[in-house]
Amino acid sequence: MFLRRLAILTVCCLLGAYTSSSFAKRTLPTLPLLNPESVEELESGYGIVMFDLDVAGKAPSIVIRRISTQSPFLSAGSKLTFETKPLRIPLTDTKQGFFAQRLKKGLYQITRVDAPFFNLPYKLDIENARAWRFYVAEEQINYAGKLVIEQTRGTEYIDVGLFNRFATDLKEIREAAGRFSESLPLNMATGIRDDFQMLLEQ
Amino acid sequence: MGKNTIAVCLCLLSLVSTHICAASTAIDAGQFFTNVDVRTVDLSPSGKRAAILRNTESSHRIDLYDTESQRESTLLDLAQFDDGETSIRVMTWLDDRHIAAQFVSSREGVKDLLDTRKTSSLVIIQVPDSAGESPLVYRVRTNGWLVDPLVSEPGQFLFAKSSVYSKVYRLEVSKLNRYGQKLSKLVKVDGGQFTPRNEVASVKGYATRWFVNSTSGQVTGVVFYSDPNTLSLASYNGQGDEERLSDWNVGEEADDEAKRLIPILATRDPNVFYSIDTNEDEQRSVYSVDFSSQQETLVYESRAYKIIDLIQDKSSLQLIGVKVIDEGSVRSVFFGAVEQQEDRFGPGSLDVVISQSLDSKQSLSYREAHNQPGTFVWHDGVGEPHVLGHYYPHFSKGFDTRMEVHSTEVDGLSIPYLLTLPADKPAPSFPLVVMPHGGPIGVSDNPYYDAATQLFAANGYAVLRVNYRGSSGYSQALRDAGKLQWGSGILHDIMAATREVMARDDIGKACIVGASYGGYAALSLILREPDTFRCAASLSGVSDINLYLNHSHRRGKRDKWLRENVGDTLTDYDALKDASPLYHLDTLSRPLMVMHGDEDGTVDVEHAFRVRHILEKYQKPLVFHVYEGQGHSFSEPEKAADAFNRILGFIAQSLHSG
Repeated sequence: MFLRRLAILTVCCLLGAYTSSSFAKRTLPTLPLLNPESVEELESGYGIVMFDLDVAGKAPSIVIRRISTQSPFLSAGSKLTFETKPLRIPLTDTKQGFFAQRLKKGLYQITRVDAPFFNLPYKLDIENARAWRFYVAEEQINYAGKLVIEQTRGTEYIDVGLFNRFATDLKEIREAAGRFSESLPLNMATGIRDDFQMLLEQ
Repeated sequence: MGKNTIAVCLCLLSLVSTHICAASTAIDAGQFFTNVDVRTVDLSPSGKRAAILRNTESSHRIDLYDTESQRESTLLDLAQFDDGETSIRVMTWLDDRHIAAQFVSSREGVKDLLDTRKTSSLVIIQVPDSAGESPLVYRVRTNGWLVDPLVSEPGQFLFAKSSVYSKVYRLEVSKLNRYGQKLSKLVKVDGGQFTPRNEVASVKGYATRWFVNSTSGQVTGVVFYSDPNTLSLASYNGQGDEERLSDWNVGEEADDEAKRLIPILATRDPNVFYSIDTNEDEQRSVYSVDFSSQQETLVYESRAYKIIDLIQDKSSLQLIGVKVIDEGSVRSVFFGAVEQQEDRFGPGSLDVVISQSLDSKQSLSYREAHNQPGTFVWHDGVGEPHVLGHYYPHFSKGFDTRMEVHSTEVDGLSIPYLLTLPADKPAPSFPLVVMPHGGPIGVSDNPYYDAATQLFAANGYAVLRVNYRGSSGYSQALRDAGKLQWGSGILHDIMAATREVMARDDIGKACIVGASYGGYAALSLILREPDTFRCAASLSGVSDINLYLNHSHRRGKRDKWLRENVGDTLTDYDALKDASPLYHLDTLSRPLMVMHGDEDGTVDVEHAFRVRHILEKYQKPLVFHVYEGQGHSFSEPEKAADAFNRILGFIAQSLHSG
């Protein structure tokens, strides 16, 4: 009798844990990306992050977290800690082109890319990868890079990347910034040190 | 008009004509960058025939060369045999009547899943008794691979089938299904041959490779998954007993930083195997590994391509070549017998026996020299050797260029270099193209045929190729000396060799041309040494080292390797920035050409566009071109030809004006 109750209790606990974690996954807060013209006006402490998207697949998304730092990039030896919970950015409806959203200023880490394909739950964990960061400077248009999730893939691999194409696509980036480009400066906002913009503008 | 005036006009006219003629008779790069004609040749066991695998315009073809009558005929033209979507990946004789080939076919597969779009099958082609007859073609429907042709047992071969229990079967060709034959109740799959009666070896676990003694036909070893997380190497003795030689942890806890040397080819020593490091980022290295003593020796590094298989001399079992993936195609690279990495390069020519008859009287050789593209030669040891095919038939006679091999001392290192000189006499000197190779670590310029070198030489240029510190093919010390030397030691080596060559009376003005790291070297040295170089061309070149190191594909062990060999962008950003030509373009004073592919996954096209923007800022000229749909290496013939034609025109104009 005791063993039966223990077994039932164990099963219930396990079910509860599974359900809550699944529930938690399914209910990550989301932040959609918008056409840059549709982004709301900025409040104090906010900037606009802009991605150039070229993503494919059924329901791709990325997960981001803000890093605990005031700097636009982490220096050597810095510990990576997060000051926010994960935030999911669905990409299902924003597959091709420039999309933007306003975000609180800070350095962000893309911690995960999800690119499911039917029964192939492709997931790229990049929680520590420095090349998958972007910085949102206050009151600026922050170009975070070109996010690519390739259409064609293998059963065990997929080509995913975040590429800094600031020089390559500068004209298109400026055009995509739309009305904001009249009032806000453009920032090459990859979250690692890159002195190219400084060289270009000095 | 006086006679003197007419004479002057005629003189001027002839000078102008000469200049125009000279400019228009540049040798086109299209001749040098084409698909090869012959892909491979194999001699039948008796030596009576050779099978020649050729590229055709849209497909492949197997031709047969009769060594007695010295006549050639077509055995199978894939374009006519199949729907045109099939290619032949590898080919070998099973016996004197049968050729085994791996057919790779395209199919619809699962939408967007690339690895479901190709299907591979083993096909056996039976040579007809009379010329002109169509061959019988059989196909093995069961998934697996050819383990050994059993040349001494005509009509039979060993075939491996892997699953929870992996087995090797002895199959008979005559019982197989014909290619395209429909199955029915009366027609069994593969003639019903996959039965215990035909088993010759088995192992519990999924086998990835079997080793067979080709003389006896006995299975001698196997690489297999002894459990889901363990890959094992086991040897078989004559009684079929298994002895475990090595285990590798391949599960999630596996150390993917350490070398994982997986055997690919057996040698005469039952404990020694030629192995590939499957943990290596790009799988370009081959080792000889003694699994009893755990001693390993690096025997070969491919220039830039992933090695997918090894080629062995069938009698000596020595390694004589590799099969590499080059822009999606498989090709063979021969290099002769190697036992150690040091001083592997011969005197500029290669003569490798790649196939022999069973009685060793007849042989098939692969020959290549710095001025002679690959040629396949049959010899019966009595008469004159007979050429069976060329990689490039239009260059069958080779070139009259000369190559000198020298070295120069830099920082206590002996830096080898190759100087190719045109056939003509200098008038009074040859303009020089300095062509640093890419890499820079673990890559080298070999003294054999190089299309770009012969193209420049055909156009009247001397060509200097420097195996700077970091290069493979010489000593481990030279290779290791290239670590963290992108912007310093390596460039010093290139300059030292350049100065030595330019001190010669027969060498004149110089330009520098390079791809990838070579492009970085070209960009850097045109800025640092404008008195030496009159122009520079960079193809897929790195302009910003920190940008290169921070590519989003560089993670884990690749990132670690780059930190150790190129530099640490987190701790040494400023030093790497200072070594990046992007940040010194204000000093550019010579013509510069930059070309790049917009789908370059190794050096992003951003490198090229950054250079363009900065030069626009400084109002300095740039010849700029981006190739759409082009990756990092320009191995597609048309694009390579276009790129080199542009470079030829650019250099000619730059040297003429400068």
